[in-house]
Amino acid sequence: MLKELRVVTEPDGGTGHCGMGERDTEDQGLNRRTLLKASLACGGIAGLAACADRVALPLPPPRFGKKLLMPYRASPDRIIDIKCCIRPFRPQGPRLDAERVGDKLVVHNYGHSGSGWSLSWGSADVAVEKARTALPRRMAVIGCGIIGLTSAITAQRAGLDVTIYARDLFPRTRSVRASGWWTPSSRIALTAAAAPDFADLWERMARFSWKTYGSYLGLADRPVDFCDSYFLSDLAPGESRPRRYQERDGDYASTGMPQHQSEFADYTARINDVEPRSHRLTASDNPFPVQSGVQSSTMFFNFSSMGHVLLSEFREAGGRIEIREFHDPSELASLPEPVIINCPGYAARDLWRDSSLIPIRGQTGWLVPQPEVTYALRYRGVMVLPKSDGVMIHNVDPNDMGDLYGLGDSNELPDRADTEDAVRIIAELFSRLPA
Amino acid sequence: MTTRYAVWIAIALPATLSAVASADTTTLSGVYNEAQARRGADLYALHCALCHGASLSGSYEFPSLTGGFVARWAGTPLDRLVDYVNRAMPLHQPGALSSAESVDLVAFILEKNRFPSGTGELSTDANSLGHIQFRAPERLLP
Repeated sequence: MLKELRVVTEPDGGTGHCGMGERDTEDQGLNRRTLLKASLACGGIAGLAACADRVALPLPPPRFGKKLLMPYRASPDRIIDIKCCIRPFRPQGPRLDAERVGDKLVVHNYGHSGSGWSLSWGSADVAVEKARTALPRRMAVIGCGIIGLTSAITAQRAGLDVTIYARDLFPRTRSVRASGWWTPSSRIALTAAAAPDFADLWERMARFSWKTYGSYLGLADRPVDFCDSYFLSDLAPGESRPRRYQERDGDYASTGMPQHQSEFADYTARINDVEPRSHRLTASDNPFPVQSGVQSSTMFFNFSSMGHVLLSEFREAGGRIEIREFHDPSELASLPEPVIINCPGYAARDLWRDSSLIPIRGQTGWLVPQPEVTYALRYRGVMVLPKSDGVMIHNVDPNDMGDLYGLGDSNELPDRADTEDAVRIIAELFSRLPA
Repeated sequence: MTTRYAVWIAIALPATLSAVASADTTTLSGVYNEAQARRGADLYALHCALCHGASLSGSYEFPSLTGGFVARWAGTPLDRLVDYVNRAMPLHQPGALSSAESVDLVAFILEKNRFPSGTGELSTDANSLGHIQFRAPERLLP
């Protein structure tokens, strides 16, 4: 049974955090929620004032033609690739427990949903620390996506001799079909299904990853980078419009699938102190042809260079890679290593028969690289990011479903029409600029 | 007597192969027949070709079901491949294939990888499939 339409409301000002993550379900409607959470995390009204004090430095007003904000050349004929992936979502959060398979100790490290890249280093640290309790000198890692690679390198940094066993190597893994934003809380768990201490674990992983990715800033080819980001809207602050998605009855507990955006956990406020803050654009410093906007900065990962950096680092430290596919957990018994970190991503559903994994389909379009564009934006549910390996365009939320969009869908075939829709939305935005 | 014995063999052997494969049965032993592979071809066109391609060659994202496919499954008992197809395929609708459809599909894949056909059909019986070892084909792909 369908319920009433919800209303998307524009932010009415304020200062706070404004990540470009996938979980915000409308251009700015949920920014209000994000901003509100940010203010609460800072201690309510008094805290908000304190936060504002901290970020009171005026931003230089960007200007097209003056500040050199170059427009995106959004056109369907500039699409060079469309990538689909399945986010491996576990309502409980990532699987990080250990079990015995024959005489092997297997530490699981999968089920990071839309937060795999962002949480990878922290999750690897948790998994490797567990594995080290068995005092191994050699370790096997199953899988060569971002979780497998970071687990392998983390184990090497702990002094272990590591072999990766994988069917596919980076960049032919699902990790490279992600969007590559810093989104550590993107569909990471359901509040009701996660263990009581998961929020603390998430915070530890997020902080560890943030620090580690920071160590990759400033390198040649920019494996990790930052840019300004803008949330843009045609609505004025305080304006609202009907939400297009009609929510359903029930919830995860009663149906086995989340039915509401509000069921997804959002831990972002726990790391407010390290993420860049956001600022409402005033009419005089808004360079875009829209009613309102919020500016922040976002961290992102350039897949091509990051893949090369990580594989090189792994091999230079003596790491070995063996192409191998496992069809049953019992086959792990044949490995020479006594301890295994298991990072199969969504494939765990088949290999480990883990029915707790729920697919969430995601698709990104890639346009011809535009190195002259140095900012990200989100407008009408479409995110655009100027990565070194192409302009990434992501139709995050075309119908106001928010985190429910793509839930239960394991179709990895590209849908070009979806990407073209997103491109046209951005093209229309820039067509408003004066010639 | 000899003739009668030979006739009994001719009648009983296909059924026996379908029921329980011997310990040294492999994918080189003619474990499926052409009729089953034809049924599998129809199923493949319906459920699999969209991702793996009409010629089973796969793509950048989807694995090939010939060539390297053999290396991925060689050395495993055939019940694992059939079980995988039955549980995990097609990716967008896992579990949609019946046991009979899964073995028909595997028969088609074996045929396309130039494994010899025989007279009997590949059985849906997991115990029987578990006694068939996936080996590399003796004839190379053209």
